Amino acid sequence: MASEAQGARPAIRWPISARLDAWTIGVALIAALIAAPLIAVLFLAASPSGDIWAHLLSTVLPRYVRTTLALMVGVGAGTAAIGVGCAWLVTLCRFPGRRIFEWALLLPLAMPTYVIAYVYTDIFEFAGPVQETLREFFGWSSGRDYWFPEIRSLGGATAMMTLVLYPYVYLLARIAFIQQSVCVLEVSRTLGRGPWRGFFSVALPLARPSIVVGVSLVLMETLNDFGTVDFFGVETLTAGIFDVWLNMNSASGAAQLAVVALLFVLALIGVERWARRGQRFYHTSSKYRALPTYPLECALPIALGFLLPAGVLANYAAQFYEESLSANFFLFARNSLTLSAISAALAAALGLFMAYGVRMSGNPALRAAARFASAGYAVPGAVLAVGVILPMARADAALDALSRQFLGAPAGLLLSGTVAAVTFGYLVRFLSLSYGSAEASLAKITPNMDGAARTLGLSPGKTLRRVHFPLIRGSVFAAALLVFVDCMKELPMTIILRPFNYETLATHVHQFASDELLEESALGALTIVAAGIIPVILLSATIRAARPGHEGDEGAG
Amino acid sequence: MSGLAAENIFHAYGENEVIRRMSADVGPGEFACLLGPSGCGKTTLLRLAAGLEPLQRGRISIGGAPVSDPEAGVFVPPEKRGAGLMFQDFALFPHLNVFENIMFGVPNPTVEHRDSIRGALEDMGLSELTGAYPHMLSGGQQQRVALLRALAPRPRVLLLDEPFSGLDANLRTQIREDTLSLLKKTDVATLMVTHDPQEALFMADRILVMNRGRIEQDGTPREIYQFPATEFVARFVGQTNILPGIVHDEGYDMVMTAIGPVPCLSMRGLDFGTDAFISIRPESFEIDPEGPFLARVLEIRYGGHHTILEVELLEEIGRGQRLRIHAHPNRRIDIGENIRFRVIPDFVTVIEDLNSNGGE
Repeated sequence: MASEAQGARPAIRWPISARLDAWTIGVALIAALIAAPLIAVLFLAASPSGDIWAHLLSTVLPRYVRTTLALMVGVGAGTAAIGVGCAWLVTLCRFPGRRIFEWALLLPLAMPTYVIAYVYTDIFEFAGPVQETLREFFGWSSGRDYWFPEIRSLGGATAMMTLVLYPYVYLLARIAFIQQSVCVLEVSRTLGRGPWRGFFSVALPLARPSIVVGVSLVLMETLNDFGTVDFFGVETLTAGIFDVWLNMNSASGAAQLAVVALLFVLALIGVERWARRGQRFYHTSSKYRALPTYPLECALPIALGFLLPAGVLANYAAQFYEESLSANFFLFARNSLTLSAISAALAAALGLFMAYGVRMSGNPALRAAARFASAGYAVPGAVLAVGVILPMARADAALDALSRQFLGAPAGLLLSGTVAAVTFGYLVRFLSLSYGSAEASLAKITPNMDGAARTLGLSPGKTLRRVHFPLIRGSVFAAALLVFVDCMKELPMTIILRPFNYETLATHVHQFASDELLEESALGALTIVAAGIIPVILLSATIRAARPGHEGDEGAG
Repeated sequence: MSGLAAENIFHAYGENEVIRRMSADVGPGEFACLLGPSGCGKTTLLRLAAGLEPLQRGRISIGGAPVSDPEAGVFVPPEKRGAGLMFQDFALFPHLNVFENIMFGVPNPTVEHRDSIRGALEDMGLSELTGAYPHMLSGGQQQRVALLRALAPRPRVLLLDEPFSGLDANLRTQIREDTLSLLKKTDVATLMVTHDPQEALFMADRILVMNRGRIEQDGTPREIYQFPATEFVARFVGQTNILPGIVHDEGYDMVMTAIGPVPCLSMRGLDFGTDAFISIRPESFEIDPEGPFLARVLEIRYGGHHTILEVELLEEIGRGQRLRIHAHPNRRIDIGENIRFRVIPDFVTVIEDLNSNGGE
C-alpha cells in the first residue's frame, strides 16, 4: 500500500557495504580454495627434502625435459602445418563439401589423446592388422625380416597428439583468416602476387598472432597429457611426476618436477599473452575469390584424427558389446556422468558467484585473486593432482591422529581418495572455464541494469537471480557443458584422486587399453568421444557466427 | 524537509575530486534540476543519493532519515531507500516485457496499486504495448516505460539521469510535458540531472547549477536566467555580455561599466565602489533611435525568434567594445550600419569580481 511504502523509514545502521562483504568474503574464500593446490605444489617443492633435487637433476630431470621439449616441438610444428593449411584451404578455396569440412575439421577435438593412442597402437603394433597384412603379403615371418616404425615411441606420441590437437590451431587460424580484410589479399594479387605467394607474404603474417595463440594452447594440452605418454612409455615431465611420486615414492620430488612443468606453462602463457597483444583484426569485407583445389588435403586429417579411430572403436564396440557390458560399462558410465555432472553444476554455480561478486565489489585485488585462481586450466592435471592430494593426505593423517587420541578409533581417509577429492580436483582445473564465460557475459550487461534492479528494491542476490541469470543463462549452460565434457575426458587427476576401486569411463578405458584389452573398453571410449562432440558443435556454431557476410558467400557457391 | 537532502557531501574517485562539500535539498512534490556541464559530478550525486555509490563524507537523508552517513556508520542499501532512479540509457530489462518491467519493483501489488499503474499506462499511451519487449519499442516509448518503472514502487524520491538526451528534438518537448503532468499527480521529490539549460528552464521548479563539484547557484528558473550569480552560470545558461565594472551609486540602481553607466536590478548587496563584473544578456539591449549608445553592426545571424547582432561600440567611453545584441526579426538591419540602442535593466546583473570557479 502507498501509506506503507511512504511511511517513516527507520535509518538502518549498517556498517559500510556490509552486504558486499558477504560476497567479497565468499569470492575470496573460493579463490583461496581453488588456488590452494597450486600454492601447495610450490610450498612442497620448496620444503627441504634431502638431496632429491640434486638427485633428480643428475638422473632423470634432463631426460624428462629433453623429451618434453622434443614432443612440444614436434606437436607444435605438426599442428601448425595441418591447422593453418586446412584453415586457409577452407576459408579461401571453394571445393565440393567445403561447408562440411568447415566443422568436420574440428571433430578430432572430440578424441582424447589417450584414446587415439590406444586405437593406433592396436592398428600398428606387431600383432595389429597392418603389420599382419604386410607380413602375409611379403611372406615375412618375424619382426627381424623387415623394419616397421614403432608406434609406442616419441614419434608415435607426437603423431597422435598432432592428429587430435591441430583443431586448436585450425580454429584460431580460421577465425583470423575470416576476419582479415580480403582487400589486403586482393591488393597483393593486383600487385602481381599469385594466390599462394599472397598467402605466404600477406595472409600468414597477418594471422601469425592467432596461430601462436593456437599453438600455445596445443602445447598446454601436450604438457597435460598423461594417458598417451604413459601408454607409449615416453618420459615427459608429466609422466615423470607420476614416476617419481608413485615408483620412487618421493612426494616432494614430484612437486619439484611439477614446478619445472609449471615453468613450461608460464613460458607458454607468456608467449600467448605476447601474441595476443599483437593481435589486430582489420575487417572490411568478406568476399573470397575461389581457388580451385581438391579436398584431399583437408580430408586426411579428419580421416586420421577422427573417422578411422572412431570407426575402429565403433566396430569393436559392436563386436564386443556383451563383454563391454559385463565389464561393468553401465556402472563406470554412471560414475563418469555423476562426477562430471556434479562438477559441471558446481563449476557453473561457483563461476557465476565469483564473477558476480567480483563485478559488484569492483575491487581490483579481488579480481586479481579470481584470475589467479582460474589459472588452473593451464596447469597440467598431474601437477594439480599432486597439489590436491598431498595436503589432503596430511590433513587426513592429522585427523586420524586426533581421532585415535581422543576417540580411540582411527578416522581413516576422510578427504583423500574420495569422490569429493576428485570433484575438487576437477573444480580446480576447470573452474576457469565457467568463471571466464560468466565474467565475459556479465561484462556485456550494463551496470545500469544492476542499478535499476537495486533501486527497484532487489538485493544483490535477487538481482543476480532475476536479472543477470536470465540474461546470461545460455552461456552459463554452455560453459557447464564444456566443463562436463572435460571432466568426462580427464584422466591424470582421476587416476590419482579417485577412491580405491572406483572407475570412471576414462580410467576404465586407460586400464583396459594398457592391458591390451581395447576391444572390451571400446564402448567406453566411444562414449567419451560422443560426449566430446558436444563442444565441437558449440564451437562450430561460434565460428559460423564470427563470419560476417556469410550468407552472400554461401549463395555464390 | 522530508524529501531528499544532501549536507556537506564530498566524493572523490582516487585523486579526482568529483563533489566538493556540496549541499542540496529537494522538497516533496518539488521538481528540481541539477544543471551542469558533463563531468561536473551531477551523475555521481544521483548515484550517491540512490546508494549505488558509497558516500565518503557528509550526509544524505531521504524523508528526514539519514540513508548515507559515513561518520555515523549509516548506509542504507539502494533497495531499502525508496529512491527511484531512471537511467540515461533507460536500462530496461531486455528479457521482460513492458508490464513485467514496470511491475518489477512491485512484487505484491494491491488491487488499487495495480489499477493506478494501468491508469498511468493508459495516460502514457502504452496500454496496447504491455506485452511488448523493450527492443520492440521506440525511444520515446522506452523512456515512458522507464519512467513508469521508476515510479511504480511509489518512491519518495525520483532521480532522473539525463532522461531526454536520447530522444529526437521533436519528440522531446512532448515527452517533457507528459513527464511533468505524470509527476504532478504524485508528491515525489524529483531531482533531474541535465546538461541542457533550455530543458532545465522549461521543466524545473528550481534549478541547482553545478560546476566542478559545487553548486554555484540555487534558484527558480527566472532567478537563474535573470540574475546569474557567477560568470559560469551567466555563460552556461544562455548567452551574455560580461563587462568589468564598479558598483556605483549614480542615481537609482545604476552600475558603472566599461561602456558607461547601465541600469541594473540586482546589486547583490555589494557596497559602493566594489569591483564587479556586469552581465548583460543580449535581450537587455533595445534598439532605439533615441538611445544613448551608438554602435556599428559587424555581423548578423538569423535566430528565428530574434536576430543576433555582433556590434562594436562607437562611444567615447568603451570605444571598440564588442557586444552581442538581440533585435526583433522584423527589423531590417545591414552589416556596417550604425545603430543606436539603450539598456533595459531586466537582464542586467552584478556578478562579484571573485570568480568562484577558480577558488580553493
